[in-house]
Amino acid sequence: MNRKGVAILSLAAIGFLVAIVLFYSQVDKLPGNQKSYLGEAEVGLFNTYIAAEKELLYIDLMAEYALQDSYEQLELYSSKEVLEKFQDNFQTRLFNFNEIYHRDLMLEDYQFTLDDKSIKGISSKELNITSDNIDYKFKPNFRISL
Amino acid sequence: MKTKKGQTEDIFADLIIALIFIVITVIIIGVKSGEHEIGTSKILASEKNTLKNMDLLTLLRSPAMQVNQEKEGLSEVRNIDFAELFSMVYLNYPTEQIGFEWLFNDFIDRGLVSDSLSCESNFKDLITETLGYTSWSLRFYSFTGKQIFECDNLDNLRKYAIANGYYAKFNTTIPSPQGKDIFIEMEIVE
Repeated sequence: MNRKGVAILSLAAIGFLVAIVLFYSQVDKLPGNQKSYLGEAEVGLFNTYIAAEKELLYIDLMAEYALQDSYEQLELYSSKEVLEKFQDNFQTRLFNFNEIYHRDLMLEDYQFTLDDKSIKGISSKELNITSDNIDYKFKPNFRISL
Repeated sequence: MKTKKGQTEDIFADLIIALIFIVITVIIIGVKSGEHEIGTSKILASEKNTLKNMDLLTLLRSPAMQVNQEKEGLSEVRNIDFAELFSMVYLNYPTEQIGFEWLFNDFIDRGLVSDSLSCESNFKDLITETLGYTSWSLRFYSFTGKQIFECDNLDNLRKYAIANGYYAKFNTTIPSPQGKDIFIEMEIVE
């Protein structure tokens, strides 16, 4: 091989090596969306969903026990009395929920409906859980059987 | 014009240089891939924990048993889920089961309750069957942080876990009929 050939080949080889080093060292810093490992975003989403599910489980049980309290407190009752008593008991228990999950849900945020089989609580307020790239909103509605 | 020996030396030198480049390239790629692999395996472990955490919530919402509830002279079948069963932990038989006599009597018949919720074989079997894990432990704490209940189907769960593989811990809070909250902590080993 002549000297000119060796020089060109050496330059090409060094350039190739520099390109590899640059590529691997800079690939994480490329502009665009935040890079994450495979499945990282999904895990974040699942964790957010689970956090919301924990709050919903608490609300469902809380409503169930508020209704049981109402039955215990009333000797003979009409549907209207049950609903009124239920709202009082639910409000008392909401205090605990707000304290645990750092929320500010009020009784006024709910619209209660009563039929022959159940009490439904429809919330006008949305709760949200935010983390990196995720803003998860859910309504703390419930339905309990009479 | 080089001699044959000189030409052989040139080729040998080129091969050495090429080999050095290849080795450096492989090392760079290897290091970067290794970093990525560690990150991915952390995520995989995290994924597993996440899904098992979901299983704790599924367990709490799963029906533990069906009971007959007497109501206004009529008997009706009602599903009792695990969250309801666990939330009975504050109730003591026969003094504090107000409003839950029907449920307590059923629990006693099933061997789930003695004077309060008890960690007996029937209770353990019920959870193991639903959960499907070979090893688990449950601890309940009051809102003051005092441990009020403990049950597991394996002694020294953590020690066993370290020796045998997958281990995870989850928690959540549920209310009780008395208005006192229960912090549930669950550990599992696979």
